[in-house]
Amino acid sequence: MSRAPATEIIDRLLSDPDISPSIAHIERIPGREASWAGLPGDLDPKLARALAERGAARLYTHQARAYELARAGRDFVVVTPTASGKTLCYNLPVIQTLLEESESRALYLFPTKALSQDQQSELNELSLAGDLGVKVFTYDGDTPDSLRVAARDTGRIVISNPDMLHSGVLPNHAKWIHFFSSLRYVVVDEMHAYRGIFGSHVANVLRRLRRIAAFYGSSPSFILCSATIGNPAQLARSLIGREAAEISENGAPRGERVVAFYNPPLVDPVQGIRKSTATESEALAVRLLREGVKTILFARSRLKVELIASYIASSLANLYTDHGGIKVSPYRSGLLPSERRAIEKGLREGSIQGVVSTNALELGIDIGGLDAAVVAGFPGGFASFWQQAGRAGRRGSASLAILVASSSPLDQYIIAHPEYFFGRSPERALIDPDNPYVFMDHLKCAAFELPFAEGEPFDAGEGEDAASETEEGLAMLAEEGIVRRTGGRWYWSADGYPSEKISLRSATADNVVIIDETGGGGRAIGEMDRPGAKELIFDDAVYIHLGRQYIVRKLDIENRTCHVAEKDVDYWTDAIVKTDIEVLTEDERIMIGEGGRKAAECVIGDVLVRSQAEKFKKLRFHTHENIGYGEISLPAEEMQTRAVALVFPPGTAAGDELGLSSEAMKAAILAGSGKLIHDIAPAFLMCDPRDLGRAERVRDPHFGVGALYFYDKYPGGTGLAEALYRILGKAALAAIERLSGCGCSGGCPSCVGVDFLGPGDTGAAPSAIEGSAVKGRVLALLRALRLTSES
Amino acid sequence: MAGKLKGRLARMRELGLVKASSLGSGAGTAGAGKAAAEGSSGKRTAAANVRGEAPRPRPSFLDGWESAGDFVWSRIVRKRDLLPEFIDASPFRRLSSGAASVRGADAELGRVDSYRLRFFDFETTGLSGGTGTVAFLAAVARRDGDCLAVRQLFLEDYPGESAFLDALLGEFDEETVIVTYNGSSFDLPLLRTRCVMNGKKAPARPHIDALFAARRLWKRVYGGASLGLLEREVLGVEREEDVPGSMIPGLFFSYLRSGDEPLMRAVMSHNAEDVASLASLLSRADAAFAKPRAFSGSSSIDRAGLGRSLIAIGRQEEGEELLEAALGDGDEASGLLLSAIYRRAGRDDDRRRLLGMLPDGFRPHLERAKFFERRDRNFMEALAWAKKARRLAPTDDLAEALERRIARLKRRAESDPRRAASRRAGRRRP
Repeated sequence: MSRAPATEIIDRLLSDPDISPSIAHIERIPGREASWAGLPGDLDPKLARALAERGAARLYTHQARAYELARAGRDFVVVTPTASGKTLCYNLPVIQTLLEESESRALYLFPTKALSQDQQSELNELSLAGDLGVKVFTYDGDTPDSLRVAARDTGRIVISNPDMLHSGVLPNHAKWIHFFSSLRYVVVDEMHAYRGIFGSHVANVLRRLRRIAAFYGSSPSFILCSATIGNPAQLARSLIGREAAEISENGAPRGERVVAFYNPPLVDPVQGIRKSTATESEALAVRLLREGVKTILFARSRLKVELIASYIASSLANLYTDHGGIKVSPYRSGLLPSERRAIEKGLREGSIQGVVSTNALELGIDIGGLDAAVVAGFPGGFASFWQQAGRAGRRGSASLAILVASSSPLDQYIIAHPEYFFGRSPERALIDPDNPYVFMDHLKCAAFELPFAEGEPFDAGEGEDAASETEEGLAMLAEEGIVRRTGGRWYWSADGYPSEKISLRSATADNVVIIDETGGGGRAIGEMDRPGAKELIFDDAVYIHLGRQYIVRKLDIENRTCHVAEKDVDYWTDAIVKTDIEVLTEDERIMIGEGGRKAAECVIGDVLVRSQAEKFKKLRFHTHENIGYGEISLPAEEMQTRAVALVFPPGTAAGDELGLSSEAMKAAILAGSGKLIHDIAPAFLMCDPRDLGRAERVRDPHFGVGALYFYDKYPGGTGLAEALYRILGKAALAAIERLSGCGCSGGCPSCVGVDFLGPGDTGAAPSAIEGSAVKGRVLALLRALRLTSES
Repeated sequence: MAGKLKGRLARMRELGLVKASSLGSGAGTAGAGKAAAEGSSGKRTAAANVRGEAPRPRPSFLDGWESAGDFVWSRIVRKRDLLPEFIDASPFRRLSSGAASVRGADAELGRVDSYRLRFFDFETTGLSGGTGTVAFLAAVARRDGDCLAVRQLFLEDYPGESAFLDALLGEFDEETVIVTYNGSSFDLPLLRTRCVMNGKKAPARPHIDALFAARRLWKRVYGGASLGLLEREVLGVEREEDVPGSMIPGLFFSYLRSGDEPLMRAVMSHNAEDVASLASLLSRADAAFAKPRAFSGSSSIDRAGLGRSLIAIGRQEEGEELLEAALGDGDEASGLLLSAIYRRAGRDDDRRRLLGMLPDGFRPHLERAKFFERRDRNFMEALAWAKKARRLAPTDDLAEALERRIARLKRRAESDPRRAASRRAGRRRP
């Protein structure tokens, strides 16, 4: 099927009378020519020849600079969008060095097995390794025993992932003596994936790696590659424990990119209700697919992915034309690895034209080029948005990215302020390698790997504190009987294998396996983390997998299984989660305000959060109307984490403002303010709104007065609460703007919400509270905060 | 923020938040529970542990041991055990050729003077091969006239490991051959790891892992091949008050924390008994391979296993004899294996004779049907056996396959001259 050039299709779509009224903004980002540099002078002729065979007689400027820095043994991070030849940034200097030094080794780390396997084929394809005698091995959970010995002893480049390094390689480092003794480079690709709790863990795994390399007398340099984030050099430093240089000028060429903002039309201006993001995104995607445009649609959650994929499938359904020859597949974690591989292959080879995905596809897996990206709802971060938008675009041709706004305050704010969107710098990726739980987990692993000498720091914190913090941690382990201090060293003295119980990715290592019992069978069709399972696949929940619907018969948390059976239904389910907060510590208490008048108090510390899903709603497909409720009886989830609390004692501006209202009204005001700040804050943090929890108390048991809590949803915290405190001023200003500019009359999802009871459940009946009054009071409260915009 | 982590850790301790975290997990039997249960003396010692106090008085279980270096103790125990003059190592080596052995010792081993053998076993702080697993007790036994001299080395505390390894490595001098039970998977890799951790060179000696032969000789008869089981069943040894292997790491930690642990005595005996039994089992296995025919009437050895092993190492005649002996006692699998061997070698007469000895059963009948069809060209006979096999088919798939065979045989039997002849002779065929 021949197709009009991309720009024509894009323009036609954007000027379509059904679509163009809802287009809030169009930004055209011009394409760019390549910036070239010559091949390095010291390049081995065989390497130069291999490059020439692939059509590369020159390098992009950033590749040349990376070569320089790597060969000089410097640690550095290369910041590049996808498809800009970043693998050559490390392959070239590494292989050149390996050719010159017959014993040297390199370690390549990728966040997932799929990416490692991709890279292995890339290296093989390059045929650099083959012809030049540089042995490359992938070493992960799938590597058969017969290959493992060869990989350890003779592998010059070993490709692996942090999980395997953590539980397979480092605790058995004696078997890797040849490898570690001559380790010259560690390549960390997709560095931006190492944020949040995963990043905090990986930073510690790298601490252990450096420690072990030092034991064998080597000191490898680090080469990191990242997509665009606000703080690449800082993240690199947190990960590797040393300063890293930064290469951010990208020499690769790029086609013209058109970014459009689409705001679903209002169906009820008074109530502020808009057409659903899901259906609007689906319509746009179908339109593009019908024009022959390869399209990826990014949805906000696994559930939405399945919903939208089924909406698309029913729109395209037409047996006569075999659905127009268009195949669209959902893609998310929780699918079996083999299912995901098949979809990636289909996209690359063109047998699949469209995919609906969560941000799981943000990472650099090669799926070939796509022409359009439809982003259904702002993905909670500008860096994420650009990575998602960046999936569209094949070299040289124009591409389209459409942001379809949701009704959340954040999205509505962005739609109204494109200059903010296109002008701002991307968010900073946050990690906290010194999260106490994470730190202690890895201190255990490190003690297992090598005894600690007295006074030896496990690289925690800065300078002299590191040694005493390490000693404090070791002392705790000694009290538990896990290590023994004797003869000037701390020895591991337990019979376990610590890394096998520690997962780098979730709160607990145990996932729930989802088993399909339809027709008496028992086949595993997917899996989910335990806390997620309590909120998504409780008894009687509707679970959607690759477009098929299942009803949950029994969620057996004890045994980590969930039994489902296929059933066609016309609704899906959504749990209502109740949250309880207990303050454990107050680490910092700050008075905020300006001009001598205190506005409110801000407290940062550890809290215990108890979450309970007690009921769920049944929502009809497409219309999303509520058609009933159900009960959930599962034990509560408990976790300790970091939080920041806004406290409103009388005598402060905000406290006095709050004091003007009745108890019931206070509850509504706090719920509304909490929702608004919670929803808007991610614009300034690199997080998903779901990474941040919130709770409100009219009379908080700990503080005795009204309070708003914002807590990190990961146990021990990942730096989110502290970061939120820093940007509170900006968030409050943005919230004020959004609220005063909101056209609804009595509250809507795009500002203070409609559910005034909120998760805190402070007891007043909604009918007693008037929506417009709430809006007004929330505005007053936010203004009273009068926070500076300093951060 | 300077000092932040330390403050949070300290506060966690104060508030008892330590328990709620994952701190206690992944540590196996650190004896954390034990320490808590030990009451005040346990607590005091834990605190002493943290303050790193001076060395303590010699524990009671080291009576009779001598110092062999800082934090290392040694003793020699003699056991009555007459080893043969020579062991033929080649069956053992060839049967375990798939497993990794001590590197660098590629010499084809044949007859080995039994004075060269070193029977070796570790007791360790855990079962994982990782770098946190430490061997605290080693036994190396060698022939001493008509006895076995077992030298044991005990690691009193972690700082002594270097001296411990030096003493141990000293037992494996140039001409020695190391013998273990499952050492290729556990003890030797662990020894290599401990050497790396202490900057020493692991010994490169030939290695015999007796487990592989033991499995073939005894597993089917006794239902397992663990050292303890075979010690009881094959050697007839009953240990008094032995300590179960799973308890051993915990006992060592308990001793470390409190300075003494009476049950360690039992651990030491256990370790010595293990190598003594290893030596005896090796002798038994060697005897079986030296004179296999002597065992053709024995039911305390797996003759099919011995027969298969002999064939695998090229001793065809003896192997066949053992397999036939096993078949004589009703072992169908041996018979079928022999039939396959004879078939591949074209030894039709041997095969015919064998088929007469096979018991009734689905596979034997099928084997007969195949023989008569292919080798004997006697389709009527083959058809008869095929029908018998069909009646015993255990699965639908096999039954279907047999139906096809029967149909084919019927067709071929139609044109079989013998059938015509028998019809003429008026005889009925089944």
